Amino acid sequence: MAKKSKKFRITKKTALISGAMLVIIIGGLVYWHHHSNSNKGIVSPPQASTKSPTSKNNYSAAPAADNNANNDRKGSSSPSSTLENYQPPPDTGSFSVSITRANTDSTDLQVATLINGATSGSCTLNVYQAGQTTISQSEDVVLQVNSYVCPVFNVPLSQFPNHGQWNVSVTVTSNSKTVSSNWAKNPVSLN
Amino acid sequence: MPRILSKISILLMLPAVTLAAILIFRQPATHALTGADFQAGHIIDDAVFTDNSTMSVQDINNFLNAEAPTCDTSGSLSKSYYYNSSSGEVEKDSFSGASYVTTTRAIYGQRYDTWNGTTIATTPYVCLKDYRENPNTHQNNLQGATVSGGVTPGEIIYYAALAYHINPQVLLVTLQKEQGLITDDWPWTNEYAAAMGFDCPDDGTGCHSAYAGFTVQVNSAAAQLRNYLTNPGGFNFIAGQNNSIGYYPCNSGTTVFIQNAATAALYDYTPYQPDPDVLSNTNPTGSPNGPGSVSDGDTCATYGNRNFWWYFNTWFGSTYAINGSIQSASGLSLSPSGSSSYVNDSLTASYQVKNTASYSIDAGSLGVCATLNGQWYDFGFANDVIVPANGTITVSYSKKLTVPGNLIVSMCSYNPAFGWANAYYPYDINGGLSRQATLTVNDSPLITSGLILGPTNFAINQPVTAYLSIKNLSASNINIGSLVIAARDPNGNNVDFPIKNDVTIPAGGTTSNLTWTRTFTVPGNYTFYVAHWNGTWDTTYPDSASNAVVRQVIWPVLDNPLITSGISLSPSSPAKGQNVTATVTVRNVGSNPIDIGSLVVAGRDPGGNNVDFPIENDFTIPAASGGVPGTKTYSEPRSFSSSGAYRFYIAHWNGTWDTTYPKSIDNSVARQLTLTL
Repeated sequence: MAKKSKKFRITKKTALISGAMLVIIIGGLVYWHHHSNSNKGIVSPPQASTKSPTSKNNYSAAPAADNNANNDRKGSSSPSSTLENYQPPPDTGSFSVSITRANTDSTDLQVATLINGATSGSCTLNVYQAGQTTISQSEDVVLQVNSYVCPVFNVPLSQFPNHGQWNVSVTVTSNSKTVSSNWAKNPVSLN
Repeated sequence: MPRILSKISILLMLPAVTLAAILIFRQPATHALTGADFQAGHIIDDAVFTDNSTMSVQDINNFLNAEAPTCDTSGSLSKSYYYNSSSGEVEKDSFSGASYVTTTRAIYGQRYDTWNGTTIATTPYVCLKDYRENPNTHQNNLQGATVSGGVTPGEIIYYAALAYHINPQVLLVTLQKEQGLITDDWPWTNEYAAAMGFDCPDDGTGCHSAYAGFTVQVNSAAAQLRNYLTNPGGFNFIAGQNNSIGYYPCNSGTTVFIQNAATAALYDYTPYQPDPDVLSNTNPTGSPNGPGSVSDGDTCATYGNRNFWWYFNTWFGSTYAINGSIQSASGLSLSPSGSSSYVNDSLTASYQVKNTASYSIDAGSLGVCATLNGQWYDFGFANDVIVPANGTITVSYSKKLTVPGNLIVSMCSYNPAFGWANAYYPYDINGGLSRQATLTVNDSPLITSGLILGPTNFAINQPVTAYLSIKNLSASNINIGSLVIAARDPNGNNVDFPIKNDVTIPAGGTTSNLTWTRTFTVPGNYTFYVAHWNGTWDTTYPDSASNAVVRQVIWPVLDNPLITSGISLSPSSPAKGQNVTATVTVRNVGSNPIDIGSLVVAGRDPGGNNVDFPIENDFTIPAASGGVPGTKTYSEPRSFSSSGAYRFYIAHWNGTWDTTYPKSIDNSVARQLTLTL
């Protein structure tokens, strides 16, 4: 059986001390609030800071584990050109085409495409809607820094007979092989 | 413990507990991040990505020294691998005929190069902290050579960051993400050749040689990252839209709404996202086990952007800025524009602030601060400025310039989370926006032509005009208060010209010619000076346009009229009964004729009887002309019949007889004469 706790009796002395402490707490909070806000106004001279608030340079030796991927790469007879992808590239002869975005700006439908596995060839954009003529554009596959892409297609919105839902497809032909875009969001809504 | 002490202890702890709770509440989160914290659509804030002020050259070099403090330059540390001594084949994994061996890295590097036909793995191994390159010739010390004009990687990274307005921390993390160069203690030369992974497509063909080399890589990558920000429509990923982002090399991925330009830039550079397997196998940031990798079997694992995020958070703190979407939409502009202004001009300083987030934000305190001659001269400030979602506000304050000098006006910002941040907040994502303007405030109005009194020579009772010219070069009229030409007579009495109140000097540089007119009654030297009243008397305002401006003169007020030639009789010794003519000449230096009333040469015969010469009434002395005083001569004849002594004197009537007026020009003037017939 648990011991019955003693009732806490409020004596005059206790009440006095409690009151004093309450005054200190409230006073402290009021001071803190005032102090923490007092430099928000024009009364405080502005002091330009040159450091970003996020700056937190960690000047410590890197753990050995930071070199695991690199050491692993050095052991491979066909090392990746970077450490970004530990997996090998796709098999030679196969490639994929992904529409990374299909969106409109104020004047155009823009369609951007990423090609994985092909380094040359031609791209054809088809934008179609049931009962309407397909709108097409063609470009060559180009290297864009670190990726092979179809240059961003810009189709003037004025070319579309109506807005609403349009399907977008990009087909790439490279080394006699033709691949169409696979998992892009479709259709695109033209507003 | 006595019960009362226990109670006191509890009570004493209360404030401490309360204060601690408040402080903890205010501290930004400092906990390690996990893969669950990775946001594919928001990897890094634009403000952090583009803050090129985060590290100096020395900061970067110190960082590189700290990360890989000991370099295995000679490759003396051990390396274990599979090796076939007959064929020379080296592999990390077992193969037929291979033995598992451990040698030095140097030997491994030789064997690697021999087997693979490469020249990338042999000693000396130059760690990034020790790397030197001449940025013009691109000669480097990777082969151990001394490089003339070689600079440190800190300099190369710093200046690339500066030039393209990219955070140097972003470049450092990219070096690690692409090649592991920051932490590698035995880097191979291929890591430098493709240091930033620039022009290294993921197609298996490797990096292209056109951009090989450390400096070229760093500069090209920094330029490209800036290009992504500047021309987002020309690239594969764009902020504010749904984007399809894949898992390399799989034909799968997810639709990601990319929230900001910097995140889109990361995907443009590295067009893949980590798959859920990678994220769930990501170690907490700062882990001694590194960022982590998936176990074998996940063919869709890609680490580039995950590693960027992980290393940035581990090394440099959050990739998110406080109020990172609060950005400068324009630089500070002044109206009117120009590098100079005038006292009394109203100057308006403005800049625009945008919020790229889809929710409104309390940007903190925004305003326009200024110093004038080194003293605070703020234009204005507001706390808790709300910038609406995807909106732009204009921060604009005006101030009437009241003091001449050097004025420095600046954007002014304060956020309780990080204090004063005029130098970088609101964030300038594209760089180059002016946060400050300096101009000279010229004094105005100015006295262009000093105190002039006219006429040049003036006498008592003669109207005198004081002239003063003032020009107001400011753009608005100015009421300078009261202005007077103060005057003190020879006795020091105040004889100021009439005060002009509410003196308004029109704007635009037109000269205001002010005049004051009065007369003086006491001859002698007077002091005249410019005095301004605007609560107190001030003899220095308005200021003089040049040192040639006269602000005070001591000038004589001449007495007038004056007898220049005393009583003269002709003939001088007349006989009884003979006509004799008395003459007296009076001078007037004033610009107006003076009618002094009646003048006479009074005479008394030997018996004391009145024998005056005839009175000349309305005795009017003509005005001076051409600087020559006007004169009039009293000239009247008469004869005297008695013998004896006659006495003559000059007398003037102007209600009463007066023998002292007009005064004599000097003591040689005979005002009395005695004649004996």
